[in-house]
Amino acid sequence: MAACRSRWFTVCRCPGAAGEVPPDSVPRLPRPVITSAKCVMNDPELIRQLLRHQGDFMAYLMAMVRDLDAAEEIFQNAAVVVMQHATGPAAEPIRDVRAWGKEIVRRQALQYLRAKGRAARVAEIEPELLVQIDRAFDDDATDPAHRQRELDALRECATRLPDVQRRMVAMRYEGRASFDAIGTAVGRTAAAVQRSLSRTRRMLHDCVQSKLARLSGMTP
Amino acid sequence: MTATPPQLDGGPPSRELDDLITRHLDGGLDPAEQRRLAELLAAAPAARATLARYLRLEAALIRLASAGLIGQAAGDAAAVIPRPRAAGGSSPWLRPVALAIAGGGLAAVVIVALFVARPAPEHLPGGEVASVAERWLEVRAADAGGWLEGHEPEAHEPEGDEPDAPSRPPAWLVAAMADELADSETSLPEQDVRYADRGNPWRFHRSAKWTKAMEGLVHGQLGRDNG
Repeated sequence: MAACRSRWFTVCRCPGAAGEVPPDSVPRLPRPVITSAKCVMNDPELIRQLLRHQGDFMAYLMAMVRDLDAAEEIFQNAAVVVMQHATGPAAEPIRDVRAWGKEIVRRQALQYLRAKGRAARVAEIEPELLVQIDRAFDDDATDPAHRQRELDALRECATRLPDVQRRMVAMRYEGRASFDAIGTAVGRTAAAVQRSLSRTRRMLHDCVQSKLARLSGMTP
Repeated sequence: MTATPPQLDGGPPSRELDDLITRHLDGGLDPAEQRRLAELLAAAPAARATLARYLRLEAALIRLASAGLIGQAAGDAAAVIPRPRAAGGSSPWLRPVALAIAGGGLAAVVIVALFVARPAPEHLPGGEVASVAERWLEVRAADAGGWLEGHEPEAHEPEGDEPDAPSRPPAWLVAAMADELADSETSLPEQDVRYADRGNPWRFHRSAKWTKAMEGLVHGQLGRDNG
């Protein structure tokens, strides 16, 4: 396929459906693999892929930095880097956006932790735990349909949370409130809020798994 | 000791691994506990699968939160968290009007920045960010349902709080658009420049004004596309 770059965006399509290289030989190495120097993933597909994996990357970042604002900032930096790599003069086709993007996200996160970790009051993380988080992310091959079922189940489970717990979750995830701020709002200490949120997360996890097990005809 | 937390749908009993994972995600583990968690994860693929499930749960929570669907999940007004962007007591028609004005203004600025101030650049990453925004609009219009695939608004969902939340542009795109503008020769008004994070040149998005302006631009564009 001839190189066909417009002024503002790449218009080439890689061979295969939806502009992505077929996953028959998708490498685990989180690096872009060149199949044709003249073929570049087109922008809509890249954006679609980034949006599709945004939640994954944010969760991965949360496991690394445990701070939503920091995770968002790192993801933004990483997304810009991805776009630059994918649409720049030396753009290369991306076989596995999740793996490649995750590597960029990981490097951005490590850079962030080194540069701003202490100043941003992001707690340090043990290196061996980072390795295991990486492995868990890399090994997770859950298909999009199952993820959607999890999302639907979570939405149902969230409606069943006691009001105060739902409020705390909403303040934490929607309002990006600190434990202190949440505690002030609900009349608890920051430590109590932190413990409660951890318990709530586990309740939601168990609820989602229970619903999915019922859906698949298994008894939990 | 603390009381046993209530269960939703009779979930499984308490487990050390689950406890460590959930506490880790809230930053509640000390170094020794982190090493213990790493040890458990390294010992068994099933343990890493459990962590992966929690990461997917975290991702789903973030997605629901981005759409404003947690606080209003039960349709209980008393449980809805007032968000800063809804604060201020403005009248119901003022926000759309303000967004439309801001969106129009931003569109004009972006057009000027892209087609006048920096003509025909070759392979400029910043210019391509603008195209990414354009393509994003097309993708969103084509997808129709937005990134929250399968989500059908329920009848009891209040419409006045965050009517456009599921169609919100990704924050990184807003930031990239603003950065492109900041990188161009087009100077920004003083009140806008002050929102930039000089410690991080990629970060310009903390300005609620920019975010709202992008929302106005995007939703105006989507409205035209769908209409």
